[in-house]
Amino acid sequence: MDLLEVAPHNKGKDGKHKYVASCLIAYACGLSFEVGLEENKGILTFLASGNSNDSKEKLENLYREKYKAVKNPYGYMEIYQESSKWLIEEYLLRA
Amino acid sequence: MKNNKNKIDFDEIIGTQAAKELTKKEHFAIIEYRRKVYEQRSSNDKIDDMLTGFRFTLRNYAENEAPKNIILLGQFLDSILKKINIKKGMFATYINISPRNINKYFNGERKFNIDHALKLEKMFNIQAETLLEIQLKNDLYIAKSIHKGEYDNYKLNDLLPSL
Repeated sequence: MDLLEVAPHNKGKDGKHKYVASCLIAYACGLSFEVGLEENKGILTFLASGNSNDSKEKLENLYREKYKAVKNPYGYMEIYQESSKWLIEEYLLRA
Repeated sequence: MKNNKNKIDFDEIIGTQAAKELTKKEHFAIIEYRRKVYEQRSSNDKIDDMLTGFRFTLRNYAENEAPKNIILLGQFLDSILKKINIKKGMFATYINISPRNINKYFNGERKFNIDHALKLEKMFNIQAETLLEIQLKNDLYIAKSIHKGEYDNYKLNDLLPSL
């Protein structure tokens, strides 16, 4: 997901579009609240995908820090309802 | 170069990671885990989840320049009231609409006014502007569809003094 933000014109403090991945994730959180049913409402599940265990762990830590994601007992990263609401507020509504 | 403590460097090539699909076993395990998380949520949390989805839907609809289907503001409200288990008669009385007329508001026969929108803003935590924008946008869209061409003959030049 964070690879989305590394397009040359988005790099650095003068980048054209800021928080691309964060906004997309926040939008996905909104969709999950909109169409998700019962236990699925407001939750996102994804896998940190790295070529090595080291980069996978780094990505997982990044997702924990940036998106308040947590790792479920089955190895998948999940963003639960309260964090989803925070992301929506932070990246979709505050702009 | 400015040193950034939080900076994490990656040595990855985009698109080289193989996609991984959930096995059925993993899928069911994750659903089961979510159910446990869901059971721990209070009724208020669950209502707030539904309201978050409601607000997201309304904002998207208001921002969408060409929605595929027209959805009336009253239809949105009718739907969320059902989900959160509020009787429409009670809702009508609360915002000072006669319960006998509430269906007319829900089906667009009557329009929500500024006073209603300001009350709804506080109740649902969504801007009155968004609510009225949805109503106005729908009304304009419907009027343009029904009266296609009817306004084409209105030109400012008809009123301007001839030179």
